[in-house]
Amino acid sequence: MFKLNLKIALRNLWRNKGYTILNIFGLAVGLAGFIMILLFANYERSYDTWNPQAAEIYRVSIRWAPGEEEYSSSPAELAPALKETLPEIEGYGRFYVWDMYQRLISNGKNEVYFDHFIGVDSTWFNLFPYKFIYGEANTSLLSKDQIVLSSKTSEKIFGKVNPVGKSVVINTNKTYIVSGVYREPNTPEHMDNDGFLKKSSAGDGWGNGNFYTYLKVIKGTDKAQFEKKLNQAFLKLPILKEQSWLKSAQIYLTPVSSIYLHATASQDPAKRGNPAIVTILVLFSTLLLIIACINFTNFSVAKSAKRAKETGVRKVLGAGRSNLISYFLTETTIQCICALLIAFALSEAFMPVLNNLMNTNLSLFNYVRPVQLIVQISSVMLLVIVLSGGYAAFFLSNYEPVKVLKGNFSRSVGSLWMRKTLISIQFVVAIVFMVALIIIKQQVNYIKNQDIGFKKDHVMVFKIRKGDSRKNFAQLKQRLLKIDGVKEISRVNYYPGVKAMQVVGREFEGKSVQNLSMVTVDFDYFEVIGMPAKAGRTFLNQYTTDSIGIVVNESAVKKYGLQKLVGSKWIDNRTIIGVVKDHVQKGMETAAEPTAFVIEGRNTNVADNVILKVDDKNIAQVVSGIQKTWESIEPFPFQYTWLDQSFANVYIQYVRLDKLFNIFTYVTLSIAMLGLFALASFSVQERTKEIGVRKVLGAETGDILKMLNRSFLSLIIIANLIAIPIGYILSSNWLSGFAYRTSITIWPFVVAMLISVIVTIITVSLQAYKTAKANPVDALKYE
Amino acid sequence: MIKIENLEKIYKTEEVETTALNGINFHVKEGEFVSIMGPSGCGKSTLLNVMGLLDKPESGSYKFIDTELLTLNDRERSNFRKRNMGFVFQNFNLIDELTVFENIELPLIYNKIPASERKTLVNEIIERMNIVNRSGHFPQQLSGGQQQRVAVARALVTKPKLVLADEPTGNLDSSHGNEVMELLCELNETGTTIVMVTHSSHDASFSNRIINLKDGHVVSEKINKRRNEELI
Repeated sequence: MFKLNLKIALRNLWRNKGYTILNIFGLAVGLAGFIMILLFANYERSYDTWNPQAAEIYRVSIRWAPGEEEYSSSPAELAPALKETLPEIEGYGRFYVWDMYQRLISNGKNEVYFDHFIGVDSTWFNLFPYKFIYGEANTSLLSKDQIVLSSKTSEKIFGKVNPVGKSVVINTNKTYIVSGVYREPNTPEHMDNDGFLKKSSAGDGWGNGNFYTYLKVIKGTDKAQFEKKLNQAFLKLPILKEQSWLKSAQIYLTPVSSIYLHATASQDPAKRGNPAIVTILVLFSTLLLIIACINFTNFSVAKSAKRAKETGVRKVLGAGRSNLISYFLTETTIQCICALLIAFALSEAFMPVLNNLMNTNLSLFNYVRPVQLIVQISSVMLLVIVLSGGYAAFFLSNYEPVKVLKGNFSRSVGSLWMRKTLISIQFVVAIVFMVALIIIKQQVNYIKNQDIGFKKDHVMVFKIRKGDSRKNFAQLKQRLLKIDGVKEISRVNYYPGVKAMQVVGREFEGKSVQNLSMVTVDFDYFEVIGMPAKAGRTFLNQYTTDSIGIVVNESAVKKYGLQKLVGSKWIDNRTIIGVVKDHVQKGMETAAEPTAFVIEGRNTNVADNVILKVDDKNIAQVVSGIQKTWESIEPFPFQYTWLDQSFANVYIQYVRLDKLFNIFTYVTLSIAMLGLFALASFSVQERTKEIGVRKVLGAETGDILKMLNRSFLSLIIIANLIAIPIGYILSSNWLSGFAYRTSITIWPFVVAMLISVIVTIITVSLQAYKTAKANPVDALKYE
Repeated sequence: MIKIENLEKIYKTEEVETTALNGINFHVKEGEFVSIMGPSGCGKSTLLNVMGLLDKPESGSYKFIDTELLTLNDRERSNFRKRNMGFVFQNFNLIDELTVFENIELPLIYNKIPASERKTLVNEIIERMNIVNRSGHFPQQLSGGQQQRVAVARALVTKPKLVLADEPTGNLDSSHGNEVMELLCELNETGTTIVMVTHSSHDASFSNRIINLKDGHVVSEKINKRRNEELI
């Protein structure tokens, strides 16, 4: 029976080659899009899942007082104190914020920069059990001169040999012994790491939360309850009697595997993904798949008119309903499997495009979790087969044989409505996509053209690696200024685009000044970056008192009420010498934060980047001049960035989203057009006789085209009416995540409607024209 | 009124060429009721379709009151057709989605007759055809005879000069068939020219003149004396 079914199914598919190909290809495109996004979403959700104990590892974050921001860092003293009172805590590991800096590592032969060495507790590998290729995890960080390398790091320095016991020199002056090499895990991690060494500080005291604390709890501990218990235990700590301000603090726990997508703390050194984008992509790729399935259903239902007679004959000959259902599902399954194979090929072919867009390195056939992927794809396929074949199977097998044989089926009102509804759904999706695409484009343009508050072009930034260079910077500055093409020079720590900043809390005349971002600069900073003073003036070299002055931005003026204080003393006994315009620091989601600028001094953070404005001519020559000079000052390989390029990172994800949506929209629109094309073709076929009659009665070609278009256009208008509010709600929701956002106008909706209407008219007319133009007698003969 | 000369029509498929009309010559006078008879495949339906401008012949001439129709373009053909001709088909060719009233109204709409006038015209013909109580029904709800009455009504509502009927009784039983034939006779008596294709010599006996076709030729022509005498 199955063999016979298979044979008939194959013959049937072959007889309708054109439709079969369109059908399979449409589904393949939908599936390919879905599979690619699935790979990406799986990847985004796989952060830190390599860790077999991920469920028991939490990162601690703290809100020091209600209403303040949640910080992902905490005092070093916290974890040991809590562990003493709470038996649930099996262990802890911390790393120190000031141990994270770029290091130049050398073994005498190779010199390589690394950005992600982390200074941790010796217990770190109990929480993060990396697989050690060489050396032992538990003895690898016992002393201050030991260093653990990732296998990639080790390869870059030593090549493919066992380096344990060999020594490396960091930043030309500190020698370490390699104590172990671990293999990089097969899933991404929230903290990039090139290797580990022992952290350089045991603690800064309770007032200084510069440590990142991870707790390992006993298996089976309930997060919510434990969090509560943790806070209660915290309030009972002896230290709170001495330092009562700690009482208002609230401790939070973030499971390590959800830091990447779901951490809420600010000032986070961890890599952070955007869960909204992952959700949007999964949602939209599912929609894409659904509309591909709809095509499939529509094709088969429309074709069913032709198949009805065969079905009737089968029923008369004794086929039961279940025989018919299994027969039609066989036919669907064959097509779905073909579509899946094509989809594999398509996704393998287009994976590099996605990788390029999303900055990933994913591959279908080289996937770290094949079982997960196979299960996911199989269940989706099962769903696709039932969704797309199911309706046709049940619909066709339900025919009454007599009716069918008489030929009374094709005008079945139910099936027509079903098809019309499905095609409308497709267009609702396509229109929502178009609206979303246009609004994303508008927002990306808005972001790009947004007044960022400073001038980012032809500004170069590079790191100062030696303390001496900072101390003698005035002299070095003169040397650099002599280079032809260098216009202005200064120093800064948190230049625009840097997200992790120093945030301070102070008191001034009894009023609390909280959450003030502090940027350390040097003279001429505002000239380099093109931020003129709005009130007062910026730092001037000739006024020696300026080095203990302070410049604030407009947000700070507004927040702390400094309107009348320009020229007088403020926090830390500093004189406010001027006010500058707000600028975009962290990205378009964050409104300008109250910020103060100070000159580097004894009580400030260090301004450890040189920032220079150069002439826009002969840039290569200017750069090589700077490199030559700087390499003679610091014995490190010279590395620099351009401010406009590094700043572009704050909106790169939206540029990516825009590009991705382009693809989505075009694919969706083409699939919907394919569906419309097929439906129009079947509709014309069904109405051929009616068209003939109308022509006999005097209708002209134009009348016929109008008539056919009218029925489809009404569907499209309804689809628009449904899609507009959905598109509006989705877009305004998305836009509300931005501090700097464009407003929604009527145009995206008008454009989407026009495009959908024009596409419909063209598609339907292409199909209808031949029939409308033909001799009416041909149409009348059609049975 | 109609003068057809040397009409040729060839059907081509990928493999075969069939000559449906092979140089036909034939006239119809105004007010005549002509039957075309012949075996299956002799070209009688083709001839009717060409006369109704539903199909284009390869060569020949077709004059309708001194107007050559074969040189007209699509739009002119369509215009000429809707002003001068009415059609009755074997399988009625009513549009299932439209009511009786709407079916009859359709040619008037295509003739751009204003709505109020349309209503009067349709009601007039509905009354004449004796289907007043059916005007809101859909074709599927009517018997074959009633459906053909509606089709005839639709053919007549524009008051055409020529009515072309293709086996109008073919799908009807004999009593309904007779009804339709009587309807056509009445119509002819009021001055409408009718050309009818039929298999049935009974139906043909209602007409003035019978033309026999075979293999695309006119093989014989017969004046129906009985009917002509009746008329006198």
